[in-house]
Amino acid sequence: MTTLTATITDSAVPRTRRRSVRLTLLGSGAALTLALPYLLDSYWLFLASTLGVNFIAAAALNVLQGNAGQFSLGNAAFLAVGSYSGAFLWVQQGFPLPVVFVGVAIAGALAGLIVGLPALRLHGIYLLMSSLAAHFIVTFVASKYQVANFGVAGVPYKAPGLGPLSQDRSKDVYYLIVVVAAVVALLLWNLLRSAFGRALVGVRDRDVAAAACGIAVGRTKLVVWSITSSIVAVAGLLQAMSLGTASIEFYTLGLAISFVAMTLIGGNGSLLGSFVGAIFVTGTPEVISRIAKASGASPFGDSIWSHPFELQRIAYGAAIVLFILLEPDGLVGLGRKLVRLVRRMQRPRREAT
Amino acid sequence: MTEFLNAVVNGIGLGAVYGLVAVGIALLFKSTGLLNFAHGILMTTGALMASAMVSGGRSFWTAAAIAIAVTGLIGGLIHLSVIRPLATRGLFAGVMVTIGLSEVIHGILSIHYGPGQRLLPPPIKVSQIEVFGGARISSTLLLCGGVVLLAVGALALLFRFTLLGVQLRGAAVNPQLATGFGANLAVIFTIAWVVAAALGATAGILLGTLSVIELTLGDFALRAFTALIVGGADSIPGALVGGLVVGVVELLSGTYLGSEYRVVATMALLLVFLVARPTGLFGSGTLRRV
Repeated sequence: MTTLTATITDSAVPRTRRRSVRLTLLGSGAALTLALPYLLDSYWLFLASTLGVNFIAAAALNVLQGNAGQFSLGNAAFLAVGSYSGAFLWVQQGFPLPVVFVGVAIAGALAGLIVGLPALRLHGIYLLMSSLAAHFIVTFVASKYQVANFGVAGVPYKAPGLGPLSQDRSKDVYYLIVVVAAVVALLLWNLLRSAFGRALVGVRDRDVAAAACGIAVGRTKLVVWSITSSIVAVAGLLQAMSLGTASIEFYTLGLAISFVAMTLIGGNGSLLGSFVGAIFVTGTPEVISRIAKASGASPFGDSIWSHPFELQRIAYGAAIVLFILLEPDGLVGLGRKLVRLVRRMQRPRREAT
Repeated sequence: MTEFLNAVVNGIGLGAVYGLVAVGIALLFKSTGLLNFAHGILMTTGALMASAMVSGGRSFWTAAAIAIAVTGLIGGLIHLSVIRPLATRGLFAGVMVTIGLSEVIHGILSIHYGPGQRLLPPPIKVSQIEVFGGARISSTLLLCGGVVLLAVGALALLFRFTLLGVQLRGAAVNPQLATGFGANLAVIFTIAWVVAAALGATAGILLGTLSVIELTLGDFALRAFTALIVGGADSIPGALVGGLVVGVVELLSGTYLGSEYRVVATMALLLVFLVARPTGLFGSGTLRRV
């Protein structure tokens, strides 16, 4: 609805020009994304890979939570499903990479189906609680599996050899992540504009009315849980490849919360919002630790910059609180407001005549 | 058999403290409809404050009283500053704001008190007391149970006999109607927050006397969520009973399966109740389903 009105009011700008501007932006963005491994050193490339993984998982969660209205604290658990089913299929059994990806996606979909089952009967806090319980049960099973097969240190992930295209480990992982991120973004973008996407919004906004319109509410919920969890599981596999290891201490409730934070800070129910939110949550710790380093405060000193980790937590918690209170549509909503403000300032006279 | 009795007796003692945590969460959920994820960090706040004061030379009881009062005030401030504006924004906004807040408070506590462990020695001599059938329980745990009974009893009296209690019960059933009969929701909800935060600090201090105090002390609130659902989310006595059930289940699974099963057993219990009986043991049964 908002895009429709925007197109009508902005008709002063020729549509073809807007489209060509968009295409140019998209093209240069894609070119930059592909060139990044040759522009960045290994640390920044790792950060870019982390951002990509975070975007994939946040985008999936955002569809589940923002579009379908299903609250979940289960993202860390689904990431673990991905990395540990990957550990079985790839590290232990040595299946070829495409098979591993399909297998992990199926494992994630099954896990999502099971965790989503209570959603057929439950709402609100009860659903939230069931994802909370699922988090602890999945990580418990994963830790038992890890200790029995690999030991306490974690699952060692080898480099994903890409055959003749293969370069070095971090570049390979990066390109894998970029391809998956592009596919997932395209998939979700189209999904939300399909009949299924509108069914999701119906289920979120008024499930009884949606049912009256012939939407199978239960089936829609289960399908969206499966699709999004399968995407998060694939993100978990990529994350383990990027980190070079899957270790159970990594999959905390805090990790799950950080993905909810990405969707809320970026923009609930917006694909662009997932990306912006992933940048915010991935980037903020980096910015703060850099300022802390630049300030020259000793880690044992009394300066506020002696505590970069605590400051990261405070900044990130405060961002969640402030965005919910002041800008429920997140950074994307904030951006839209700014654009509207700038446009209004640009053409005050034409509207007066 | 002694093993079993030990697990049950100590489980009831520990469960009473979980129950106290759950009562604090249930109080807010019942009256304001908010699921407070910041309850755990308020527990940590109270415990850390008390332990810092005790190591600063104050007596246990003074330190505990001050810590409970200050944490209560913090709770009131939280309600006035960030929770009240969310009144109409639904469950998820409230949950996420309290999660964000607990991150902020966690960071502040870590800077102020340091990330290490602290001790809060109990005010009485620690000894093992033998109860029926050869089961043994520590005097500290017994004291904790007593404090919980006192606190919950006081809360029950408050709800039953004071104007505030009547208004809170009214607001839980129908906020508009309660306002119409003269309840000032802004004031009574703030008081509810003060009471809930004070209960949280009390529970935190009790847990602190039972083991060491760390920043992760608040994670016990996760078990209290199980207690909340087992008892029926909108029942305050239910929350206490739920706590007892969780404590016993946790210690039984710790005894017979191994200590790494303790947390996951409570979570499995949570899942069982969610699937089989979401209204819990004492819930009002007004849970909406589709």
